[in-house]
Amino acid sequence: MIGIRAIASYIPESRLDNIQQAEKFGESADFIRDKIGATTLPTMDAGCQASDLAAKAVEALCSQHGLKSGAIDALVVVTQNPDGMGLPHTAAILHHKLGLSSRVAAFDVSLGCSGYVYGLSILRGLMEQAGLKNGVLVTADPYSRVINREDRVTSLLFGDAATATWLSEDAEWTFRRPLLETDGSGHDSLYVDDRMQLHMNGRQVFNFAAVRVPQQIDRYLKDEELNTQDIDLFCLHQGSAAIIDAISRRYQEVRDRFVKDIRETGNTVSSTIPLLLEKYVLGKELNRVLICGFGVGLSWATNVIEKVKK
Amino acid sequence: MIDHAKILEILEQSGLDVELIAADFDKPFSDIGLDSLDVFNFLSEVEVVLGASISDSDFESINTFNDLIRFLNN
Repeated sequence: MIGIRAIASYIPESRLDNIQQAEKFGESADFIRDKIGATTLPTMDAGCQASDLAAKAVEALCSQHGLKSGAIDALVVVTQNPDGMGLPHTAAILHHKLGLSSRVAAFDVSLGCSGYVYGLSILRGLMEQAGLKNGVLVTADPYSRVINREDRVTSLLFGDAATATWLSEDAEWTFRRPLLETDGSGHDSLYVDDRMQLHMNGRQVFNFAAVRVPQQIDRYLKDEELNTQDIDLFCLHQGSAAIIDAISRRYQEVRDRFVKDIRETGNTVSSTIPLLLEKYVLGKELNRVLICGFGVGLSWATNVIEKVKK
Repeated sequence: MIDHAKILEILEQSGLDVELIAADFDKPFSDIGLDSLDVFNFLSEVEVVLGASISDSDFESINTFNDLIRFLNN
């Protein structure tokens, strides 16, 4: 069974001081620390694009985990802030930057915060169908290129990062079938306008996450004949500290198993879940971890990753 | 019929500081120490507990707990 072999990441060194930003909007430091959760936001340097972040994440994956770039035969990039105007696809540009051979399947997936959960199953399905051995799932969605720094709603939330996940046979972690949902009536809750500026209806997005994500988690667990006690760790998309608190509140019996780690990164869109898996799950003494991504679309997706019994 | 007691119960469930905000149901949310995310959090709990749906235009007219009670009872 193809599963998750390793994860690496790249977080830009340049930082925005979020408490300073908050002062501009008349928000307190406590609001930033306790509700938004991120005191600093990593931002890519001017002139950088998604493929630059992605290349650094894939290079880290290769150097840290022994993946030879010549062995990669599938490359999927989850992004909605692609290089240039999105044509050509960022995966092709990344393919060139990494110097990969022509015998590599490479394409983008246009999804936001649910993208990692989708991407795992998309890539594994492709690999199984096409008989591919080593797939790399990249998340790189630099929102800094579409944020208006005068917009209080979005400027305090999002950070830039990229991750790279190696999928192959004989991996330590595998994953089940996902539960995937969409509510297109909320497509205008989070969007980029024709001036390339991000807009978010904060209440609608918060409400969607607080109400529908727990419903999906409950349904997923029921469908998979699991209960909350079977889950060692809940690695949810880190939308904000407040949204993790609102969702985890519905699971009092296991609330301490919900990871909240957004302070140094902010909401890095499809990268938040793999960042958590890299830091808290892979190589750790855990057996079963629930992952759930939710956001733009509206789109939300849940799956469970499990340690393979040797 | 939604009353003050029910609102306090939902407030408690939403993890907000009930003592702080129970003092005055006619004061705007911001005047009793609730920030925007507190309000979002509380209203999502209202939707879950009461099965209510609060549209954006409804939301704009709800600035106090008594505004909310009037909305829910209508």
